[in-house]
Amino acid sequence: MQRTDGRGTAGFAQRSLWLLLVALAVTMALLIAAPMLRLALTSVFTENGVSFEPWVEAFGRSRHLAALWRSIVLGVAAAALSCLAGVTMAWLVSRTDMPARGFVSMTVVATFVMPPYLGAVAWLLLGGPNAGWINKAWLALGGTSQLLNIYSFEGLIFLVALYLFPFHFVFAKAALDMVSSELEDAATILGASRALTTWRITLPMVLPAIIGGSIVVFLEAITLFGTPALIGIPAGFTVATTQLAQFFEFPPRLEAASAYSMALLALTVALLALQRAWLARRGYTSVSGKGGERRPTPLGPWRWVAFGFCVAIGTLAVFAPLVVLLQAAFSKAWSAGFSIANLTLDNFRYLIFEHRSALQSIWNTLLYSTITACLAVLAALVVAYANARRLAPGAGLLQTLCTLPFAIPGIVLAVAFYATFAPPPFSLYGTGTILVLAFLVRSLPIAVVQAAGSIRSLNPEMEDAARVLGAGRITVLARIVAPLLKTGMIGAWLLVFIGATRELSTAIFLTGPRTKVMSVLMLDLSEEGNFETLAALGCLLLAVACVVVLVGQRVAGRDFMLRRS
Amino acid sequence: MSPMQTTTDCGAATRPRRQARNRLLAALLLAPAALLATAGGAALAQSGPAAASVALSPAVADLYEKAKAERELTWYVSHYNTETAEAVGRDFTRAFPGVKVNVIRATAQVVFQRLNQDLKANVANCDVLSSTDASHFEHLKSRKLLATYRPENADALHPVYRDMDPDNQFHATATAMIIIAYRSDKFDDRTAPTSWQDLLHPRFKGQLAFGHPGYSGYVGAWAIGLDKLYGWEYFEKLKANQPQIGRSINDVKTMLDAGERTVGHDGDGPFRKKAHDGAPYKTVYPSDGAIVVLAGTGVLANAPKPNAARLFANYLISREAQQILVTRDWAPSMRSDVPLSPGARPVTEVKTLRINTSDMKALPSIRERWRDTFGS
Repeated sequence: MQRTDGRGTAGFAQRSLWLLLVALAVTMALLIAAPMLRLALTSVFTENGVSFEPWVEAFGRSRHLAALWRSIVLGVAAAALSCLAGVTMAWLVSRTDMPARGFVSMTVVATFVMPPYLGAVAWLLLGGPNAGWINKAWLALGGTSQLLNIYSFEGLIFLVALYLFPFHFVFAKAALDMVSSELEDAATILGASRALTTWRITLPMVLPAIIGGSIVVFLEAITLFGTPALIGIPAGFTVATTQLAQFFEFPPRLEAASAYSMALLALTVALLALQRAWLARRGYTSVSGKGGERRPTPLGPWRWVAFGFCVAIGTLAVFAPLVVLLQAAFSKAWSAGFSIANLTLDNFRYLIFEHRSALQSIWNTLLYSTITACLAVLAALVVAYANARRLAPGAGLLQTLCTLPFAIPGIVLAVAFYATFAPPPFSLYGTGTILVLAFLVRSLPIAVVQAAGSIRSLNPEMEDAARVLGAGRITVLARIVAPLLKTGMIGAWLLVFIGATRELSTAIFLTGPRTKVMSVLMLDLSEEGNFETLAALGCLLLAVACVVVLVGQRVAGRDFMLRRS
Repeated sequence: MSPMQTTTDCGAATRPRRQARNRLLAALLLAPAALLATAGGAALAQSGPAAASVALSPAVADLYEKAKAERELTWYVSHYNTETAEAVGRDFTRAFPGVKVNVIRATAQVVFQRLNQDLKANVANCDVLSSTDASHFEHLKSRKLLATYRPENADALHPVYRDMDPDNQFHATATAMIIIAYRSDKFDDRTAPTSWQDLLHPRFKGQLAFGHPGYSGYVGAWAIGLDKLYGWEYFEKLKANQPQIGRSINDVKTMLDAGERTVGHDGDGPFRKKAHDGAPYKTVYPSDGAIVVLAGTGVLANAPKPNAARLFANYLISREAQQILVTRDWAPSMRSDVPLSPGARPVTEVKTLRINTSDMKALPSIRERWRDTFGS
């Protein structure tokens, strides 16, 4: 045992690290376990004692059940569609000689930066049945009826998949990058065609990554709030999240909302358990092996078809929406089209000089996202390091606890946070703190996974050398580990930061008038169909996010969000 | 002495910092659009000590003195559209320099939901509530959450709008006469609708746009009114015409402007103004009755800035504020000394169906039926 360094400064440092870990453990239990427990209790303990009334209210109406079912269909369909696009693109970028692979990766990053609800707003302008640009162009080109109607369930599935496919891409690309060509060569030597090799060898090798990506997309899809609200109200349907929001309408039915949340939570847990059980039966160890040669598959003339496919997806997700958003932001009326007479800076002037909360919301978004990103990276670093180096008993448990919120839908987290931290003794409602804490819990899993991955790649010898020379744990952490992990941690910081700037579902029930963030303000603006102002605000958000990403790429390298270990 | 120095507010130290920060942020964000921005910004920054145009009564002057020390107030509002609400807030600060208004605008039900979240969490954010759903005030009143305050200007209201609440816990500050508007480039006088009943005709299939009674108070009143007139059957038939349902009643303007839909409902005013400005619109006072509804304003009993709140509640029915509504949106004037917008018909000369405060209590059940019928 290392009892010997329980003396002097090293001992002090060891004790402070312990203290830090204990403090972190208590905080995490308070932030994650307490709200979930509270939620479960709220759904049965009503004002009239223990009662299943809330459960009856939550699940006793066919409309509420239909919403839940629609969410499941949405999740499955969006995951399938996103898998098709994301995995194909990942394979093209990782394993083939398709041209402009760097550019394609960049469009995926851009898709990730675009908040889903902002993309949805752009698509309302593109895909509206009568006034949408696509249908207008279609009719002008001689079409006889409208081509598409974004105000539909199919439209919602399309939009959700469109803005979630980067998850599939990132997971699949990371795995594909690890598969060596040797196994593929073996198949080829045995006479398999290239297509057959890809289908029977390469893809099965990365199946865990594909399944992991699908689960993330499914969970994100069923927990999105903004897009279903924008599409579903005009189209006349609800999904689980918009139904959950209705429980909050006056008179609020917090108990029923808690009960209804349990369904989402149960669904998530069941899915994760299924994944674990399914993957446990197979071995995929060859994927984790490093080394081996990786040669791109030559596509021949199909290279350009493949490139066209990627550009088409980039156009749907980023380029076309960006054009309409910019057009609307600088227009008096977006539907009037491009013309000098329609150009104006008024929307920006109004937002910045006349609107009382726009500037405040921009500032809040930046502030909360920055603090969240710093706290998340710091906490993740300490937890993952303690676990990797087995510094304290229970560090592994702590790391698991930190990744648990992955299974908590954002809107459920918001409901739980409101029930737990709004009343005394915390009384955090309406403060920036409650938002930062909620964002923190939401982003911990991704930060911890990134940190754990980075630390795994670190050989402990360097730290041991420093320890031998008399440095304490804290010194090692600060002087050796942190500098070596700088790049990876900046990448994690950026992921958390961008995630926080686009967070809507957790913010919606937790913001007060002074703590409004841009996403919530945009939702308010969308109520009136005030698309020009909304687009201007969206452009400001994207501009800020782009600056941060560009600076981040300078520091952390271009692939910061694509590298996972 | 500048109003900044007279303050005793404990949050005062952070205020100038926040302003400086906002200005810095504004400068950063607008750097590429500097041309227009500097002009607009300078004009705004120079809103110096322009005194109110009319001499203040002793009671109002006293409120103003105390309000200056409070520096600001927070206004939860679902009246007007966002721009007009912001304009009213700015004009208040012009009339009463040193007192700012934090305008928090959303649809009536969203505003009320947020207020109730505040109340349940025991947090006092809101000073003044303006809602288009009058039942909100009845509800707050029954829980003793409203302050009793009779604004001086309440006596200057047109008699029709006076004394919305006999106990002076809330007052009418806006009114809507909900009518039909349509694109005159898509319908002529023969094909245009003349009544609510008309909208059920198949020729309006895929043409209609409405707000949502689960969000907008005015749309809630409209739904209650038509349910009274024709029963719920009306909406089941209306569904066959596949209307586009937004949230705010203001959403209808966007839908019609964009050409997404061609017929909708709105408070009388904005569409007449659009037509006057050259846009292809006509409005109809429905022969089966325009829906008339009063929207009120109340001061919260636990308002953190009680004096600024009262000063503002009084201002909302001042000549200046009512003039802004008439000028910007051609909304109905509630004061005899503010003339109606061009072509507006007085509420007393139109066939109307008035939805009063007690009628609005039916809204939660109407909202549920709406969702059962329209799906969301």
